[in-house]
Amino acid sequence: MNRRLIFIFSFCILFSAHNASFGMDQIDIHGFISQGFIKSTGNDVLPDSTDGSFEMNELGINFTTQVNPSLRMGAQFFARDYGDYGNDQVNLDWAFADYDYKSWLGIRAGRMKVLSGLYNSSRDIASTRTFIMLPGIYMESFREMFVGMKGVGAHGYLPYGFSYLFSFGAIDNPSNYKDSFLFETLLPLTFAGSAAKMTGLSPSDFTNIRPLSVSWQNSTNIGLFWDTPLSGLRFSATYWAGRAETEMAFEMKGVPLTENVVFEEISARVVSAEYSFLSTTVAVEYMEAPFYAKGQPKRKVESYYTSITHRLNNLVELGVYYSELYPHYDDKDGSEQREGPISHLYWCKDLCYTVRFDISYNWIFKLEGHVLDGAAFVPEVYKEYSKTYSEEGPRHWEIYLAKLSYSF
Amino acid sequence: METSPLWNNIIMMRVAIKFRSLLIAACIFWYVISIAIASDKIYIIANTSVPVNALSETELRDIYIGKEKKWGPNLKIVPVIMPSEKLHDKFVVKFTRKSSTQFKNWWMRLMFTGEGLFPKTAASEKDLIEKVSETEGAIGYASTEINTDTVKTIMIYDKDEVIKKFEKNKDIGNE
Repeated sequence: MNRRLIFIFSFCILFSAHNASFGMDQIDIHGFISQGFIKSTGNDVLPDSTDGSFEMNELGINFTTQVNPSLRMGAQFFARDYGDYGNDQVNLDWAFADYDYKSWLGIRAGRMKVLSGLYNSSRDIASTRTFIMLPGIYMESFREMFVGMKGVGAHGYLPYGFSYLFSFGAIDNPSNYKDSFLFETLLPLTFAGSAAKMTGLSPSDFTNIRPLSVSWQNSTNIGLFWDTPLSGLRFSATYWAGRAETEMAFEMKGVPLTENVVFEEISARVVSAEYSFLSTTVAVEYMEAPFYAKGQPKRKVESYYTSITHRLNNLVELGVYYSELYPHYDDKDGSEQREGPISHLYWCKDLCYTVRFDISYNWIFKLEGHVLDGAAFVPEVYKEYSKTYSEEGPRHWEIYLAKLSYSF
Repeated sequence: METSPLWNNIIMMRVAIKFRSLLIAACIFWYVISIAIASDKIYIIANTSVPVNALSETELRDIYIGKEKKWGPNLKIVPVIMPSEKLHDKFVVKFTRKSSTQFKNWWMRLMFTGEGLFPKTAASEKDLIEKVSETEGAIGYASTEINTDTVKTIMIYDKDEVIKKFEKNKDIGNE
């Protein structure tokens, strides 16, 4: 994120908030910070997480002001560390102006959060949910694609409990591709596999594969929500799609070359149902995510989960979910061997159990465990695999997490 | 067998004592129940700038979950809450159909994604009434009815019940 832009935006908001002669409200400042600890057995989730790692934290602060009864402006700055990703670099998370014409029509412009499923837009804010790690449909490894977009949008509440959101623009992180599992790890791996098949060479003959640039084009985000007449029951359907081009550099038997890779479609369709009754909430979500590069076979990621959370009292909440994630919709057991010999990269079945303690209104502490079968889309496993192209790490493994969060 | 007047007096005294004890117990019971009933009563209050005197339960819910944002073209709705008070838990359960944790999570999600401004927070009921009094467009809740120069009590009605009563009266009229 351009520091000058951050400074200018902050100054504009602070200046406008001081401009009380226009009847403007005072500025609202809120923030959150969390620090996690992760330890896994068998496979690394983050670098050396089998030894335990504290490289798992988030920090955000936002400034919002009501310019007039219809117009709200705000911005949030966000930094995170998640192993090799983020490294506490401050980014503009969202910054937009939102004009409410009527309750059925509001218009916004700027950098906005992407809606995908029930929890994507708030995925970085641990305090808003029970679990530390979200289920497979939220694909942590592809976070940078789903986290925000720059453009314009319309939103509103309709009769009979319906509401909608429509946004159009572009993914706004062209310089962050190094923070990307897709471009930095998965694409070089599949690129080597495809190139090897085309040329008859070995994948290991293609070395130093890396993206030189990534450019995002049109991105669309649509969300439809229905709060049913049955109290606590809601349904939603969300759709996000984008297009990207990347220039890949690589060496074939030591000869430096470049190649353009065009992602014709990268999208995610999620349908969700959530039912809250008394102190219990049950959620079910299903996702299909087609994404493929030009000239490559079409590929579709599939994932689904069901979760149940129950609040025992003001202090303790329990949660459990079971999630399945398949990188290839049509090859769930890895028998077609699209990405090489390792089989348990073709699925990830995750049983998660969590205890959340609301220590006070602002402080939350969580403990969580995961029992996993498979390692689909776990970056560290792919990185190890791409070094040797041989089977690494066990199929069955576990993750343990603890996280302390503060928000105000 | 005849009982002596002394014995009769003792029995009468015992009955009187028992009756008095029962009466005292009944009074205490009634007092406790009336306190409980009184503390369950939630009054919706608003700044006198608010252009309505009555709201349906659905309208109040829409206000407190951020769906309804304006009283009119020129007046913003400012919901005020007091999360540290027990009345808050009762209020959110009754009128937003969420537990206090779900209510907090809901607003944190809106606040940290830019979808809405968190309700104004008061430390106590007195503080809440002051905030409602000072803020144009503010709405809040209290354990007593308040009607001053700057704060008024808003009537809350169940829209479905009103429609049912109306239909019933219409049927009686037709008969």
